[in-house]
Amino acid sequence: TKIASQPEQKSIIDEALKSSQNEQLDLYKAIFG
Amino acid sequence: MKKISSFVLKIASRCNLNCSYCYMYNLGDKTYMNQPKFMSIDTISALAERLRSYCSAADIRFVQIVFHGGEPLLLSKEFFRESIEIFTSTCPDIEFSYTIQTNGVQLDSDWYHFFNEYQVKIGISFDGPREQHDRYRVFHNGKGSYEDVAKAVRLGKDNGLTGILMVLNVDIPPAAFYQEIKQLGVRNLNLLFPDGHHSKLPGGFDIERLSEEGYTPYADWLIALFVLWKQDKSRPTIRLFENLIALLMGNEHIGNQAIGRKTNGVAVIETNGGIEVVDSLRACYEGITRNNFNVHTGKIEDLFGDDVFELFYNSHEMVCEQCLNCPVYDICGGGFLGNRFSEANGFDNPTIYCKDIIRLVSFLQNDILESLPAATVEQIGVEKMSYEEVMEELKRPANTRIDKSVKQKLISFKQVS
Repeated sequence: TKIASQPEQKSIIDEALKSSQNEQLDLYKAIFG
Repeated sequence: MKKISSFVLKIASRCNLNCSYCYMYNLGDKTYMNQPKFMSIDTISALAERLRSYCSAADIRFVQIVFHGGEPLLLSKEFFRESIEIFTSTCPDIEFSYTIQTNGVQLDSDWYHFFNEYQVKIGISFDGPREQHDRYRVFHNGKGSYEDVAKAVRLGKDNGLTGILMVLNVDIPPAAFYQEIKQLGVRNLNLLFPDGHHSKLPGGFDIERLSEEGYTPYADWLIALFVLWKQDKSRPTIRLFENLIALLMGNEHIGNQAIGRKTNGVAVIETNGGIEVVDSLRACYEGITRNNFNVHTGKIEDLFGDDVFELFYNSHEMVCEQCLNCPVYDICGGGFLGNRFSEANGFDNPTIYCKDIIRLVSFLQNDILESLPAATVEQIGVEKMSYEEVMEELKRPANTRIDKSVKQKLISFKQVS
């Protein structure tokens, strides 16, 4: 179930969160950051 | 050398409340009656000396001290002042952080001011709306404590209250629970699964429905709360949710005795100076945490020879075979050790909350993946996994076999021959 195990997966998610304006991602942005 | 960096000090062995679910007094272990009522300053001094030598040998520079009980506010401000001064002067190479976990009944502005002055973080144990709080968290005369505790929580909003600790109660409608914490102005809270195990299930389970594959009362409750929480733009911190999400998203720093894969570097210092494994394990059976180690006569490292501590410290690695083969294992680490116990198998079981944790984790995983852009999800190469898929996975033959010596250790705690 783990979404990101590898550094490259984390980088991809990080980029997606930074560039997204989707309010549904606000919670996950805060936690991932 | 094993690293213990959190020490829970049972500075009072008695309490001014008599909560029905308390592992200290009401879940099967009565050995608290052999303890002195309060920890002495001599014991604090002996502990500080032991910490100095242990932390030097183990290369530990940061130590968390938790003032706990019983009810720690039964002691005087002078006790806390003197204790902090002893730790600081005896262990100049250690950076301490201090926390107190109180039932809040006696927590007034004087106490808040005092703890702020000494940089002691304050946690209050609280059980939600008046009706439910007063059903469980009562004085010895049976009177509920809601009014006193709610007053302390409100007072703490502008006086340095760090957080609230609540035991999950599925009888409270999630919306009523959320409304309660919002109207009290709670900014940070954590939720605990009730203590219990396979031979003594907590009240939230309907025994007749346990065999139903889809029966997950605690997860259903938590998911309903999560939906309310996520929609709230001024949401408080809910540590359980945030930690699970962080673990799902690959944060390696997260872990405690209930989730994650890290070791559990926590020890209890009993009121008489005893050095023990965490006391919430006492819900399993009488005397499980007791040993002969004491700061007055021995070293912190003596605890490493305790079989229960060995298991607790490594409890996210020493799990039953089902856990080893579960897609959720990386997130939950098998759950809290105490919730895995049964009289017949010792700790060779999944946690009683296994299905609930699987349901909650798969829900959160799905929600994260549904929120991320589709291109991102494709790029990271991870698929959504439903509760049903995880349960199906668990029915397949095990790929990973449990080490025989681990299984032997887990079973060695069984209480029936």
